[in-house]
Amino acid sequence: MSSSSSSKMIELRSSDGETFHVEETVVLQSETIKQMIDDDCANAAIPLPNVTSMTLAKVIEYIKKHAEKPKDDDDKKVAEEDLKKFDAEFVKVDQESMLFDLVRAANYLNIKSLLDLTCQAVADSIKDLSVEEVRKKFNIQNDFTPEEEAKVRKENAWAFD
Amino acid sequence: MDRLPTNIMFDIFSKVPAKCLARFRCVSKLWCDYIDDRYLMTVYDERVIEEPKPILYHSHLVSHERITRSLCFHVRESLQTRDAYHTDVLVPKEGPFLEFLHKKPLSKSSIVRIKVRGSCNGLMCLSQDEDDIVTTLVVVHPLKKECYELPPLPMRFDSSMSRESCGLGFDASTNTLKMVYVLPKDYVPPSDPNMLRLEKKSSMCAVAEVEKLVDLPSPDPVPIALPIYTEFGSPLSFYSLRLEKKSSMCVVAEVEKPVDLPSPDPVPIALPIYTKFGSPLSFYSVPADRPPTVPTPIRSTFTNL
Repeated sequence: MSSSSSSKMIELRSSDGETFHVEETVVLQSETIKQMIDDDCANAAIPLPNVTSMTLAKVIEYIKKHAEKPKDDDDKKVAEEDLKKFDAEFVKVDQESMLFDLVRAANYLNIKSLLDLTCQAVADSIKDLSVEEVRKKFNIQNDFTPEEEAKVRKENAWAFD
Repeated sequence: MDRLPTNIMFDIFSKVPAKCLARFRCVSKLWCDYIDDRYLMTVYDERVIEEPKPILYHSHLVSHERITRSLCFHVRESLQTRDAYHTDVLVPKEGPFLEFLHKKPLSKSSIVRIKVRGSCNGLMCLSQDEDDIVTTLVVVHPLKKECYELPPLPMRFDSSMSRESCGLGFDASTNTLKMVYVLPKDYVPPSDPNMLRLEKKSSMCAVAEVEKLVDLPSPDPVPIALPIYTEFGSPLSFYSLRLEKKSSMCVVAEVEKPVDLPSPDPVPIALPIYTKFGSPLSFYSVPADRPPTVPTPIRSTFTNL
C-alpha cells in the first residue's frame, strides 16, 4: 500500500445503479469493503446490491465525518464534541424506514460504530413503547393465542406498570 | 418491513432496558424466543457490566413543617450528551420511581431514621427507627416497586450500640431470604413493655411471628472490615468482624414465603450498596472500603413473592 493512498478513490455502486466515489482511507471503515480491497477486488466499481443510493449517501456522509482527523489535542476535544453532535443529529431521520435501512447497511458493510449508533437509536425509539406499538412499528403479527399472551403477560406483570 | 437479521435484533435488544425486554416478550413468539435466548443474556450481561446503571437511594425531606422523611429510589443514567470534561456524570433519569414512606412519627419530637439494613439479590431491607426503636422493618423490591413488611423486632435497636448488626441474605438450605439480626450475647435490653427481654445465656432469640429459628454455627472469626458482612452458604453462616464467637447471638426472620431463587454466589454485603439491574435482574453490592468496581453479577430469576 502506498502512503499516498488518501488520493486513491474507490467507486461504489448502489442497488439502483448510482455510483459514488469515496476516498479509500474513508471507505476502509467498512470491514466488508476493506476485505474486498485487500483481496484486490476493488479495481472496478464495487456493487452493493443491498444498499440503495439514498442509504449509501447517508452512510458515506457518516464515514466521511468519522474519517476527519483532529490536528492537535485541543482540536481533538472540540472534534469529539462535534462528532457526538453529528451522531445525535445523524440518527434523527425523517422516515422510520431510513433508520432500519441504515442498520441493515451498517450490518452489511460491517461498520461497527455505525451499527452501534443506529441500533442504539432503534433501541431508544422502542424502549418506551407499548407492546401494541412495537408490533405496529416492526409490522409484527401477534401469533400468541389470547391465553398464551395472558400467560406471558402474567409472567412479566411487573414490567407493565 | 422486512425482518431484521437475528444478530441485529440481539444487538438492539442488548441496548434495551431489562424491564422493556420483559414487556416485549409478549410481542410475538419470535421475540419471546429472542429475549429468552441465552445469547442475549450473554451480550446483555457484558453490556450491563460495561455500562452500569446504578439505582440510587437517598433520604428525602418531603415536608417543611415536620421531620418527615422518605427513602427514594432513582434510576441514574450516564448523560448521553456528556461534556468533554465530565464524561462520567450521572444524572437522575426521571423522578424517584419508588418512595418508601415511613409511618407517622410517634410524637413531634421524634427523630426518625430510615436505614438500609441489608441487601440481597435486588431486594433491600430497610428499617425505620424512631427514638432508637425500630417501628417498621420492610423488604423493598425496587424493580417491582413493592414493599414487604416484616414482623416487628420486639427489642431495642439502640443506635449507640455499635456491636449490633443486621443484614439480608439468601439461605440456600431453605430457599428463603432471611433477615438476620445479630446482637452481642450479653446484651440485655432495658425492660420496656414494648420490648422483649432477651435471655442472657441464650445463643438465639425468638422473634414474634417467626416460626423457624436457626441455630447458627459459630462463625469462624473472619477478618473483614465494617460494618457488616452477611454471607449465606450452606446451610447458613453469618460473619461480622464485630462479633466474636462468645458474644454472638442472632435473630433470624424469614422474609415472606419461600422464594424460588437460585442460590447466589456468596457476596459480601456492606454499605453503601450499589444496585444494578441487568438481565433479568442482577444485584451488586460493594463494600464501602473497596473501590466501587463492578463485581461479578448475581443472576436470579424472581417469581412472584
